[in-house]
Amino acid sequence: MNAYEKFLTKKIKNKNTYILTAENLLAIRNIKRENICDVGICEQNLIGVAAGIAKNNGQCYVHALSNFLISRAYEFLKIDLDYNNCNCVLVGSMGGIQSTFNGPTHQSIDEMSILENFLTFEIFFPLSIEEMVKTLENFKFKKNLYVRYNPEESVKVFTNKKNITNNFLQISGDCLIVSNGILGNHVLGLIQNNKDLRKKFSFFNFSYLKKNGFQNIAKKIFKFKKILVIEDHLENGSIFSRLNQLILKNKLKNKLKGINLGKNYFHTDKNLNNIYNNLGISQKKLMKIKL
Amino acid sequence: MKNINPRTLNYLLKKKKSVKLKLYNYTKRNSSFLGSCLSCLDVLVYLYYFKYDLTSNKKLRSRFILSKGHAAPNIYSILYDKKIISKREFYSKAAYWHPNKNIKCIDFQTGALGHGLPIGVGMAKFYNDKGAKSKIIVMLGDGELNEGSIWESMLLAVKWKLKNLIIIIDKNKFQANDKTEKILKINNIAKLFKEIGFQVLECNGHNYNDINRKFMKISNIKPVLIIANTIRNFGIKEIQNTKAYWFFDKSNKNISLLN
Repeated sequence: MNAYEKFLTKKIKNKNTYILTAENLLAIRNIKRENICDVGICEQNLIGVAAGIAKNNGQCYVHALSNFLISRAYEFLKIDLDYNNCNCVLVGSMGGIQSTFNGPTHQSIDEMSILENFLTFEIFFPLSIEEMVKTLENFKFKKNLYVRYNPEESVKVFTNKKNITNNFLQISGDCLIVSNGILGNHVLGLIQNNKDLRKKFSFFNFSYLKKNGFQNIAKKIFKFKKILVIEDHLENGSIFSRLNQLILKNKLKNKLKGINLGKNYFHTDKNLNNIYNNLGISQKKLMKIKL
Repeated sequence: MKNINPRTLNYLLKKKKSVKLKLYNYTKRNSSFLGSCLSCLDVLVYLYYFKYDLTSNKKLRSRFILSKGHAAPNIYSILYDKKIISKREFYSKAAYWHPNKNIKCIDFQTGALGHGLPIGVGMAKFYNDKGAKSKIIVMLGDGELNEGSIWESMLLAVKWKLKNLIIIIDKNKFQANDKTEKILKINNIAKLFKEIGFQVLECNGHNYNDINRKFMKISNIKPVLIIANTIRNFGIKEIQNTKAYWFFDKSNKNISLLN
């Protein structure tokens, strides 16, 4: 049982808690089946039913593949959850590069650009399963929360602890890497395991985006003059494009570079390491990057 | 089964008249989807004034979700008649053509078709798990059966044995611009839903005694589907049961029919 399943097992003791899924068990495989409300692959109803429960203050943890959870059920998210203020936690599996060899029909690489239009949604791409659970433990269901599920364990952080905040997981080099989710976890691992990269880069974990919260986070990021954003999201609506807009709008002198999934569906691969390499994320390539 | 006693029947007819008058006044001022409102008005009067508590402040009271949201002026007229909303609110911008959640006793914001039943299934599941005795009532249009999400919900209602869920189909045989059977025909709805696992009842949706007889037959052992056979624009002979006048524009020369 992983940390998230342990968390849910505790939560389900509360009779107001519901674990819902659209036949997707990736994040909840070890939860007893009798504790799961499975709607089959009816993703629209998954959201509608969750809203009906949430309307009566039930607390729903809603699971599906990210693409079907967000894109297929879009109108239900907008009207039933967002407009009606019915607050749930949505946990999407296989978001971003995690969809590896499923092809474009199963890719969810646009959650931020979709959900930013909603008034009650917060977006969370945790760096590790521990970060996810820690955040969910403090979540009060005053908003909707979309979580891009990440089963990875935490990366050990070797740095001067005084400098560590929730976001700055490493402050050493003068170039700041901004990342999140499973990709951020990988990048942080690469940096931590290489002395030269540790000298070159600092690391900012941009995992949680609150409504209207972007500018405040951007202020922290802009303290670094050189910024490299690495994310598995379409360029439109990405952290990179938003930072870029702020730089242009405010005529800032920060140098910004982005590694993301561009403007098309990303190229699939069976092997996650090949995807990292294709994106230019290896110790060698990171060492060569100039800003 | 017993009929409604004459005194209550008189009361319902009186209420119908009062609500209808308000609906006409609303339409003269704001326009409305009058055809859809008049087909389900009798059933709504029965539900709101006789059968269920749909307007109290009780936490787990019965809930009504108007999935065919464009008949919302009916609900506003009932809430105004019951003095739950004021005249000012009734004629305000807040009382638009679809149910507005910000108006008291509107149990859920609907409008886009195919949403109300999934919500109702979620509510019924919650109420069932809590052992609440009250009902979750969802009204669909027969044209709304075009929506795939409705069929998903039907399957879930049976799977979860939602005996507290009452689905009413306002079968006025029209959708927006034409006859339902011409747009997308569904053969034998009753048989179809019996086979899915519903208790299916059918009534004349303009006859209070018949509506009541069928509600009295609800078994409370599985979800129930009530097909209310109704007539679009019921009560206005000149335009009832025609494909025109789904939407009644206040500038239409025939608005005097509502006088």
